Amino acid sequence: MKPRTRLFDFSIIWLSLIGLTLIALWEGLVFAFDIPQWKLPAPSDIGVELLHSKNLLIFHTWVTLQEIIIGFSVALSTGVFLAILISYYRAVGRLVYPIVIASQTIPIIVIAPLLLIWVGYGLTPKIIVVTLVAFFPIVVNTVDGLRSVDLEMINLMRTLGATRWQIFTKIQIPSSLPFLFSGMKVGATLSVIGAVIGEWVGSNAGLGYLTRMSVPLFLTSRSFAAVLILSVLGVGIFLLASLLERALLPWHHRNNKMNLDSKD
Amino acid sequence: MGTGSCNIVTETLTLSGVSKTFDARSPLRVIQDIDLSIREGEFVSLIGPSGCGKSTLLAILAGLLEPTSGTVRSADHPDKTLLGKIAYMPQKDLLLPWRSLLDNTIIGMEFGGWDRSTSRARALRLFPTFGLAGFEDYYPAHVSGGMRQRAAFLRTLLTDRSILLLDEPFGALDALTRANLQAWLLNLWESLETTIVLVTHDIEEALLLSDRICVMTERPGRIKEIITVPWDRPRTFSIVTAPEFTALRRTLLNSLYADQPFSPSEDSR
Amino acid sequence: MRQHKGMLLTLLMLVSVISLSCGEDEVTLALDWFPNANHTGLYVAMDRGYFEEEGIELQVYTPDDPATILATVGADKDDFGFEYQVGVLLARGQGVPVVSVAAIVQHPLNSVMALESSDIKRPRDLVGKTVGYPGIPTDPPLLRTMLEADHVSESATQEVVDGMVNVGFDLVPALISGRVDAIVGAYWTHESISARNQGFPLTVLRMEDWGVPDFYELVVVVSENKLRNDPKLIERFIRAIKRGYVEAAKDPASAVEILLKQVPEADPAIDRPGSALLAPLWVEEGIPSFGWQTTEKWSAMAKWMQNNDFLTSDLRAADAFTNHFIEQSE
Repeated sequence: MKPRTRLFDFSIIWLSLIGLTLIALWEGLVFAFDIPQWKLPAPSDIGVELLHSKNLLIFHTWVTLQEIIIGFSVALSTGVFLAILISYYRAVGRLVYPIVIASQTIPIIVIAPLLLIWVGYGLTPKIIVVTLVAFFPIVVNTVDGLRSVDLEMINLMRTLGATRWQIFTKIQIPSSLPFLFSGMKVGATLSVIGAVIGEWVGSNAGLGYLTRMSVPLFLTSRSFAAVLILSVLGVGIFLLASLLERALLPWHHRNNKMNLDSKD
Repeated sequence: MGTGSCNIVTETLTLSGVSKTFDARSPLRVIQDIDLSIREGEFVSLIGPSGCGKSTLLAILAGLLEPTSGTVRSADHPDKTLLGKIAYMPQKDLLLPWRSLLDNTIIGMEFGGWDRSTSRARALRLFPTFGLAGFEDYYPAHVSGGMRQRAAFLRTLLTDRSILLLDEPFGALDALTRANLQAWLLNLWESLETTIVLVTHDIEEALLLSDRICVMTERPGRIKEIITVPWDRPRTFSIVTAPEFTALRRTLLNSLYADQPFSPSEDSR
Repeated sequence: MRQHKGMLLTLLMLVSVISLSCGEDEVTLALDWFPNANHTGLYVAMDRGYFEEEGIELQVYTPDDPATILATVGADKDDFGFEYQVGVLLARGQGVPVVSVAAIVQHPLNSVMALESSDIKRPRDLVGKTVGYPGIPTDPPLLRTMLEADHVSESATQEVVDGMVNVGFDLVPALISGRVDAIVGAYWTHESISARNQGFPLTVLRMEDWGVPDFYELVVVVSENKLRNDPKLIERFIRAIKRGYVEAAKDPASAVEILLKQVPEADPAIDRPGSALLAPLWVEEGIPSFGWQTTEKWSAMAKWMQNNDFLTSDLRAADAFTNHFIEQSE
């Protein structure tokens, strides 16, 4: 009865086939209509750019990656801390939760230049933007997760002699983990966008900066190459989070569930 | 066979005039004037139509609800609330999905401050009795419903309370599994020294397991009748086919459905 | 997809050119920035109906990212654009088919600025200081040229340029708050006024004073396509806009009031003094007319860009502009 985990579905093969077809179509269109590179680069142009500017792209990717990793880590710790605070201390929660929600209504486009003035330049303002963008889904999901425990369960634990703190740590927190991971997956992917937006203003490095710089120079292939890398980063981070979830929550993954009610 | 309390030996749990009204949009009186004395080491069943308040009564006994009027007194804990002093097993097994079967059963001990390894050892020793041998490390999602109920029961038992409240513990299982578990419980209880209050829908289950059966009315639930089950202990499952069993079942049926316009005849069961 | 849109638009425009007698042409103009003193002549022309007289219904807008103007004009999505001379050369270097048909501002407005209260009075005073810029890629090389003209050593120059900080378009706040010691990429007819209004007079270092070839800050661009297929439209547009700028240059005070009336979000405290400063740059003494461009200025700029690796050497500067329409509108 050992549960089997299938990491690779056959859907990956289908996905690759569709992807390759689309790329071929794109290449064909550019060729057939003689579309200039500054309007729409062909996949081959992007590929050439990736090779040609390899070092440049690696350098800027690393900068953005740092912002994402640090920013997301801060978002994760802040988010979880806030979620626990909001859930365990109800009175505090009523004050803090609305502030958390309001923080999301401020457009980042407005905040980013102000951050430069308050905090200066360098990695810090970008990390702040990433944190701002990524912590929200983590907080909301974790709070929901902590609240998701049935009253029946809580009552049962009370009859078993559990204190409020024991219920919180032994029941609510483990219950909230699947929710936390949902929030993490969203937050991690948002971190990528957050890093790019943070770099939009006031940066000298990073993939967001690179795309921005490439526009006035009409280096459209480079913009596309940078965007491609960003997509790969985003998907990669999501996959990483999913793998982590599967590893840490083996009891949760749907594929493992087996219904054996007929046997005993 | 009438209502009223019987004065025999030690009473461990006494209910006097217990009523419960829920303040919904219009007040809902669920149970009314319950008088009941439960003796130490007794097996009492509560049986009645849906909505008669049996689960509410059990929740009050468990200390999860306060009665609107009346008192519940426990001989062992005269001054304190019953919450955490009486073992309670709800209808759903409510096993924690992230814990193995073994770790689920020891959770009550953990709350009580026992350390994990001692708790695990103690629980493990009882796994064979509960038919769970070999499944200690399995997650609840990977074992059958019957096993989950037994694990939940073990969890309840390991808290060492002298009184156990069981709320339709076998209700969610199929008939075969249910019969299996009833026989198992019957066997087990004989070796335990606990008091059990069982809420059930199943007439045969009540007759098989109990010393006394409290029949409740429709909402607001009162105790209509208390039937004493005369057969000796130790009992075996074979009692269900004996003629006395059928006779008492008829009595119980009549008592249950006395006020109903369409009462089922014994033949059509 | 864009190819289809382009073809369709060209077709539509051809049809509309053919049916010229039947009513007005809808024409779009993309502005380089939010309407300001630089655009005074345009608004005068609109207000006094010069475009209508030429049968043009003009739609003016500022795109979210001004860097896209050359692409949209080149792809015939916009009919006309206001752009920077540098941008035109960059675009042509990448094969974008745009041409400048008139110079609106004859000289650079982009300058280096520092607080008057600081000790920065010439480029070499920037050594060891932080310079902010709006992230436009040509600004660092422009600064480098200015430093070299002031005989700053190679290593010190490199240090200043490497230490430049991208502060976005909020140049004045960065300077005033002390986050940077100096800024480049700001206009001496705009940001310097803005800072002075807030109580912070600035020292201005003009680019053309420090080794940078004299260039046109703002030009009007069209696509090569339009040049070929609809030169009459360009003629009419240029005629109208030239009238507007000539009149604005004669009386900038009244002209700016027209701008302010049409653009309520403009800042009168900046644009009123600004337009007075700009008027002599629209219609300059010694050049044949408003909008005139010279091969010398275009070649000099192209050469500078080649030296700074923005262009390859086979770009013909003379192809980037034409005075034809300015001449036609005499």
